[in-house]
Amino acid sequence: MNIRYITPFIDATQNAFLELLGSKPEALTPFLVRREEVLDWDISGVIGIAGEARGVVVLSFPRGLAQEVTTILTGQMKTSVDDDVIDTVGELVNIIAGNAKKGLEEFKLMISLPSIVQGDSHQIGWPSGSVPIVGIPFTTPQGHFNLSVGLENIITV
Amino acid sequence: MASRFQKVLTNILRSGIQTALEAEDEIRLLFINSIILVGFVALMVFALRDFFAGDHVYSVVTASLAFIVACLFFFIRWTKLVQAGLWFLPILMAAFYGYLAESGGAGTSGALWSFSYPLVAIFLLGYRRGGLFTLGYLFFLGIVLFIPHLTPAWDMELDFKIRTIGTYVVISIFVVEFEYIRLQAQREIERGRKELAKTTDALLAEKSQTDGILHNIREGIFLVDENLRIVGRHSDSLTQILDLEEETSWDFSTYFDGKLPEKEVQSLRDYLMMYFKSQVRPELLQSINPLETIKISTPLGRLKTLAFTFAAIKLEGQRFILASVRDDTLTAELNQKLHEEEDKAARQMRHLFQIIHVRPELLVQFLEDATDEIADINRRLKANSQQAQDDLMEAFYQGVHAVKGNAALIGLTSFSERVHELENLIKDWRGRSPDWREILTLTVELSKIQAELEEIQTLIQRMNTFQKEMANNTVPQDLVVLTVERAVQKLAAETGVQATLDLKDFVTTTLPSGHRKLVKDILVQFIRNSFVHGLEPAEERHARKKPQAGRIKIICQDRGPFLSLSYQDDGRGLDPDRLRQTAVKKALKNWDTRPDHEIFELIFENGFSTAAEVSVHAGRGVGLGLVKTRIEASGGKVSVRSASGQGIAFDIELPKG
Repeated sequence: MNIRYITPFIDATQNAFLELLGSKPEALTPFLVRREEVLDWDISGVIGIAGEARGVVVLSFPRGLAQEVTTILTGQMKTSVDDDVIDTVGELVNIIAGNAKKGLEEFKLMISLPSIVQGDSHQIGWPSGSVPIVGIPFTTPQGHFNLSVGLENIITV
Repeated sequence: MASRFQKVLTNILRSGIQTALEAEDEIRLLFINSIILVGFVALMVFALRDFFAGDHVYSVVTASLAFIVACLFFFIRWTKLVQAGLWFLPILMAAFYGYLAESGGAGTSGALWSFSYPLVAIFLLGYRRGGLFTLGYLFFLGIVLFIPHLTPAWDMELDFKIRTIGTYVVISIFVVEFEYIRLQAQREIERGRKELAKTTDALLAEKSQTDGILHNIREGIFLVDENLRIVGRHSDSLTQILDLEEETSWDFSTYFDGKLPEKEVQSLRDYLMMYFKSQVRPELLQSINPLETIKISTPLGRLKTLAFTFAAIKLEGQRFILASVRDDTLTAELNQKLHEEEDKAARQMRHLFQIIHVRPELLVQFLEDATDEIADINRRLKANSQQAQDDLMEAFYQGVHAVKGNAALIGLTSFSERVHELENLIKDWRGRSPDWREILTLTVELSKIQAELEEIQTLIQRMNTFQKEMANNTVPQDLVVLTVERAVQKLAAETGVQATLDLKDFVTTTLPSGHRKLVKDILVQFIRNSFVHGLEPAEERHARKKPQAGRIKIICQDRGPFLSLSYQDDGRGLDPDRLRQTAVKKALKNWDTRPDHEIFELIFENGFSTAAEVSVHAGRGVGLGLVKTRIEASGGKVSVRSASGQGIAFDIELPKG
């Protein structure tokens, strides 16, 4: 895992929130995530990474934040995680992935289209083996959300 | 309306025949029907005119002829016997024209009709058969015109007769010539048509082959023009390999927009453009192909490894790139997996190598401590409070330092080096408030160390499992037997003395586990003794009439409270005189007068050796002495028997349990 693979995702996340919701989320102290750890998030967008590093970048949101963001963006009051909320989160993660791609151009990395995982206290399918995983919490006026990165460097010959 | 009229006319002229006919027959059919129609109308007109002119005989003849012609028309139409019509009509007309010429017809101009006869005969029957008819009619005409008083036509003027015959001949010649030329042209056309059909068939077959290839080949094959657009046909696989959504012609280089960095897309365009310049060598171009293997995310968002090859080709003066693309994703994935596995295996071997040198209890303690230290740092990271922030660097440093120290202490060198790098990083940032990115860097580094720790743990778990499996499932091969066999092999190789080992009566199952190590050590000592002192080299054995290979026999017997162990070889045995001499040399008292069996006991004396030099295997005089000491220490006894030149035997008794 190289920090230079992660920063494009951090920047893209902050910019996407700034553009769509008008405020830049503040990054809090990052921490280590254990692979079996179940974090208290309700909806996650998983972006696959392949190339010189392999793994996933995950954006996880609690239900409340996802609903509020959807309310702001669609103008419809959301009180539960329905299809609109999932679509909105999907679109948001899509935008972040798209923007992060630009910052990753100098590396031999490819990123997949994001997929959405939803459910109370869901687990993330990290790459197999001992992969370093770092969680980066963000705080916004709408609440906390989390960006976690599990990447393994690939040694290519 | 015109088309319906046309249809009716065609139907009439073709006698209602719908099927296609040979071009020649077709023409004749149309011709005969045309003559019949025109002839019928003309005959009826003449018949009416003659009728009203009061010329009733002619009128009746003409009308009946019209009737016959009409009959012929319907005859052909019903029977489809065109050939019959073709033969009948010239005969009928010959008769009719002949009648007209002979009778002089109306106004004695009947002979004039004859001029149309060659046309009818030759066009209907061809220039050969029609020519005969024409010739026949010419004779008839000559007879009618020139034989005096035969017919009323003879009354004509001579000039008129000659001109009539002349005109007939000229017309005949021209018609034959025309028919001949027409036939040749017809054949020429026919041949051309057939050749065209053949070419078309060949082309169609070729096209269907090309289609088959393009539909079924698994590579994407396509042409790129000078504007770098994909043009013309391409293999069906192309759209699937490149995940193209539309079939429309597209810009090949824009396909890579957004998939590769902008600079690379530009250099790709430059590269492709080189194929349109003739001065660049194709081998050179191929060797620098930037798309030889490339990993990209396709428009459908799939990650694929694609392999492109290009070649410059010229089609009708225009330059193109003939490109092919292969989907190598599976191969690449497999390769990558292989690499990962190899890399992982190498890393694990490094860990393993270090782990096996570390005492297990220390390692377990270390792993626990290290995990705790890292968990402690992580707690502070997660707390995210201002106070935690202030101590963060110090806690980070101390924790990492402790892990490093412990790792180095127990000998996990490479791991401790990894941690040391992180420690250095923190050292530079210590004593000030770190910014967020610095913390992220440290966290990322720490996460890698944690992952490595996990890997070590996994490895240890695996070793544990492995050990358990081994303990449960395999019967260990008898270590005593194994050691004895190895010792014989090894010493035989080292000393160059051949020996066979007889373990037939060596039943190790009766050996109490407490004696196993002792028995093993004793036997190894005896074997060493045999090879160094007892067994002779092959030549010597040959001279003494012994089998070439020395023989070692070990017997183990259960004798009630005792275990009897016997070791025998057929070597030189003990030489009592030599033993006595050595004893005297070593100033051992009273040994020179003792009987042989007591003298033999000397070999169990510490420091007593008959070997001239000290080697790895002999000369220190410790071996057999140690054997005796150990046997006696375990409550057993040992004795030796020997006949000089015939071998030695050690008998041991060991108490059970």
